[in-house]
Amino acid sequence: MSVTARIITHLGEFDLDAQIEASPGETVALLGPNGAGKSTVLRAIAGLQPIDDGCIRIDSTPVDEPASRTFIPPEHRRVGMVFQDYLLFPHLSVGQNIAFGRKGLFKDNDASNWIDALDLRDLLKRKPHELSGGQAQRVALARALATNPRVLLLDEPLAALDAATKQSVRGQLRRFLQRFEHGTILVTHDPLDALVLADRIVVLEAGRATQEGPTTEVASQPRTDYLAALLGVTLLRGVATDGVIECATGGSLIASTSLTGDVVVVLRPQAISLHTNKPEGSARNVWHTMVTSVEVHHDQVRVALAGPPPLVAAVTPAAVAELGIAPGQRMWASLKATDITVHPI
Amino acid sequence: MRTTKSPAPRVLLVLAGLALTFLVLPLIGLLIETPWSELPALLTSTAATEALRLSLLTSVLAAAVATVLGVPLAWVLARIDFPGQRVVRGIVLLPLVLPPVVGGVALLTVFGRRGLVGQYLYDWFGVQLPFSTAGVVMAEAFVAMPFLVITVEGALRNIDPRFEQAARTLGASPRRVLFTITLPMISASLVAGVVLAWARALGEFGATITFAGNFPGVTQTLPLAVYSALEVDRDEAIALSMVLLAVSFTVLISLRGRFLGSRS
Repeated sequence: MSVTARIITHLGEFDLDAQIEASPGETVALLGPNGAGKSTVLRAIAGLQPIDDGCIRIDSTPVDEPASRTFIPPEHRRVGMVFQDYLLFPHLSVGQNIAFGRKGLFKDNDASNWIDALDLRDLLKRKPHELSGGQAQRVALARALATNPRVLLLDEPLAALDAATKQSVRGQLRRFLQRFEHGTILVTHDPLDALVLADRIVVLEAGRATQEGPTTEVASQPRTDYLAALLGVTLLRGVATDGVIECATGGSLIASTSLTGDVVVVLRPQAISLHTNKPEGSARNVWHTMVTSVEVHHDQVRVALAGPPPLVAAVTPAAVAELGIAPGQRMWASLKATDITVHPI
Repeated sequence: MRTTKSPAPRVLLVLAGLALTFLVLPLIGLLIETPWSELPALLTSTAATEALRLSLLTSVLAAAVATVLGVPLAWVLARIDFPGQRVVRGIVLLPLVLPPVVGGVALLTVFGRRGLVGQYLYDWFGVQLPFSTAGVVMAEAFVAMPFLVITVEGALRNIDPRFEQAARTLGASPRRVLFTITLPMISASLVAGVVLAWARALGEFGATITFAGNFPGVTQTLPLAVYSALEVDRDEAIALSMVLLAVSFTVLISLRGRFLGSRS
């Protein structure tokens, strides 16, 4: 089921005015720096923080609308929320934690299915302090899902995990979210999480949405300084076969990888060289492509290329002048296979 | 790692030793003077068993009253911001420092036969609280409740309110959150508060004798029995004192984590 929200709140000096929606089956990432208001958006949708103006609708039914004095308390919203540090109840076992929202209807098939789907059957008798970070994360997810929620809210679901665990949990979460039939809003400050998990990204900065669009588009064409600096690298999703990656945005890349299947490709915009003539040399990836935009970011110039795949090259202002780079111009671009990093997902 | 400690001034050591002696010597005296061989007979005398029974009954009831009323008060003080909160907290804690006898007088002015509330209780219902067993419970609860309130309020301030919020998102009403999340999470402090309140009620003397009097079998609790016995039978007073000492010692041991600094 879906959620549509226009959230306006004033917290002291801080002013939040953001619009966000997630349709059934869709995962929307709310990406932004600390203090941008991401968690406030989730808390408002969950009913833990009443909004000052605007309207939050779940399946087109208002649950918080100050103008009509509508406020449904959190316990009646059927919104599943997974908190950043999980907040498993320390005095209850894993099984009791998961059953908490079912009010004793633990035999219910949904709860039972989630226990198996999330591989928690063997952990039911443990106490939260006996769990690893990844296990606690799965328990928190199962606890939220056992209530059969209409909307799922994930607040930095991977932030509390160490790097090694993070990768495997991210993959599990991705497989889960692909099957999940309701709308999901995911808060994160990690672009990789957003890229792997979300269908759409909303970038929130200082209480305002500054960019919004399909994940692949936002990740490959950051329009704000924050996002460009945050990404630093270009992220692409794709499918790898024998060292060739078919990019989700079209086109393909040759990389030195033996991976097969769904992958995330990471490359630095600085690694892409631009040429007026077809380059000689050893670079495995060579395109003849059109320049779509040229933007100056601090001491470097970001040149957007039409592709396929669409990419951004970062060059020096001197190179722009020397090569006469301008929007609409066709150029040669090259990229070494060894400059492409490939991660499984 | 060794830390460098400044040498202790000798005068401090002497005074500290004096303080310890001052605290321990009376207890040793009590142990020495206790007529151990006659103890069973002394403690099973009618007066002693009556006082023991009454003390147990009233202190348990007082602790129950303090808990049922004190936990909600602690919750309000910890969770709701209202004007005059500091004043209210001060009033709640006043019985901690108020001489109990003043508490007893204060209770008389309100619940006495001619008291503000007491006159109506008597005129309309024929209920007379002073000099009754119920009066003992009231006097004990009056002095004991602040112990429970400060212990529980501190614990409520210390738990992360987001646990309660997580429970709300899982469909729990505020009442269910209170009973299944909040209270279980502060259970250690709650138990400590109840035990402290009970121990304070058990030892209560001033407010009880002022408000409820000293009638054997009706209002004469153990401390009052000790006081009365001292004038007629010193051995019995000492024997009853031993009972109270044993109880206090047990309470201290059971709460050692809180007061002796050992964190289990």
